[in-house]
Amino acid sequence: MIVMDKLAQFPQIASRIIKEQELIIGPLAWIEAQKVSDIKIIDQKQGQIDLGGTDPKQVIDRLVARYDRLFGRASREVSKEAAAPLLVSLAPDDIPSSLR
Amino acid sequence: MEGNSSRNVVSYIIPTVIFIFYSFTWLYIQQFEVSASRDIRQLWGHTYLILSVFGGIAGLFISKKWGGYKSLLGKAIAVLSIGLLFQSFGQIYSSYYVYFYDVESPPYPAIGDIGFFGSVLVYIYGVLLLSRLSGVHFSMRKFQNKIWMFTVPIFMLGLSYFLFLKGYELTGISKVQVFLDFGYPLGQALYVSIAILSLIISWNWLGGVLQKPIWFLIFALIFQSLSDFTFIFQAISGTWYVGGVNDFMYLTSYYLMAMALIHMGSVFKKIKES
Repeated sequence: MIVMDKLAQFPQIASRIIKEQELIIGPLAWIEAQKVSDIKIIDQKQGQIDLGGTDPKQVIDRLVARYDRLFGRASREVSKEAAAPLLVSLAPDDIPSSLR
Repeated sequence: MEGNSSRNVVSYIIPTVIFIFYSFTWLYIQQFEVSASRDIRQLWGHTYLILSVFGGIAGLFISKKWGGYKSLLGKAIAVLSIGLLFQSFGQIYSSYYVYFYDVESPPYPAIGDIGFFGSVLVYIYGVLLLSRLSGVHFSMRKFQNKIWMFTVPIFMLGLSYFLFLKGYELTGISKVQVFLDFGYPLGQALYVSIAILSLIISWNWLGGVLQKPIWFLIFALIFQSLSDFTFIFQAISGTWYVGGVNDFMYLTSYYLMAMALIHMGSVFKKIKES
């Protein structure tokens, strides 16, 4: 069970991953993020993201997998590095499996 | 949508038609004696650069799609495109000189070397960007890969030195020429070693839809370096002439690089629409 304040971390994690991927593949990173179900981009410039669905961990996993199919393992490492600073405050069980 | 797809096909067809045309005309020219075919060889040798101009300009447009200078991939595509345009500049100057001064080849060093040597520097930067895309910095965590990181460039630089620079005489040569005599083989050895390293090290790291297009770009760079090394070898041994085997290798290099860049445009479209 993920508590509310921790729940707020997940849109930030998604935002950081997208921004980091944008530095590699450009605006395509946002186009790819839009294709992930339960991700709603509120403001691309500000990097504001809203995550729908019941399990934000799964949404993050889907986002990471979306980029995975572009660059493979190298892409996953970029996502992991981008999210790393925000993962320290999460319990191991709350960390999405793709970022472990 | 249909218009986009036909434009996509045309962008592959144009360089392919140019390449086939110049390949057949090159084969045709080979049946003549070198001394008897000067004019036709000069004409051939001074016009095939159309392929590098086309590839360079197309690459700059494709780079913009990938975010241009704001993204790593966009920057890599732009830099490799600029490399092609630098080569074009070098060849345009050489053609101008040979045509107007009625000589077999341009002097060395000359203004054209800004383009030729500039392309070496640009390709070094381009291949460094490609290596980052390939996940080389992640794979450096493995000790075995750190060993590759040192051995491949040292081997290539050493080989280049022994093949082209051993016993080099400094007397009576201008500083610019000494700089270029060392800069060309060592610079080319550097970018080809980074390209080979990227292929070896990224084998397990780079995957997905972009794996093959990035390897294609790296392969095009390796072929370019083969052409450059052949040029140096033939120039030193006095066997280079316009429209010879080395010019055909350059034609192939430009074709491969142009196709690799254009392919990045198609991949972008494919990902966007998937």
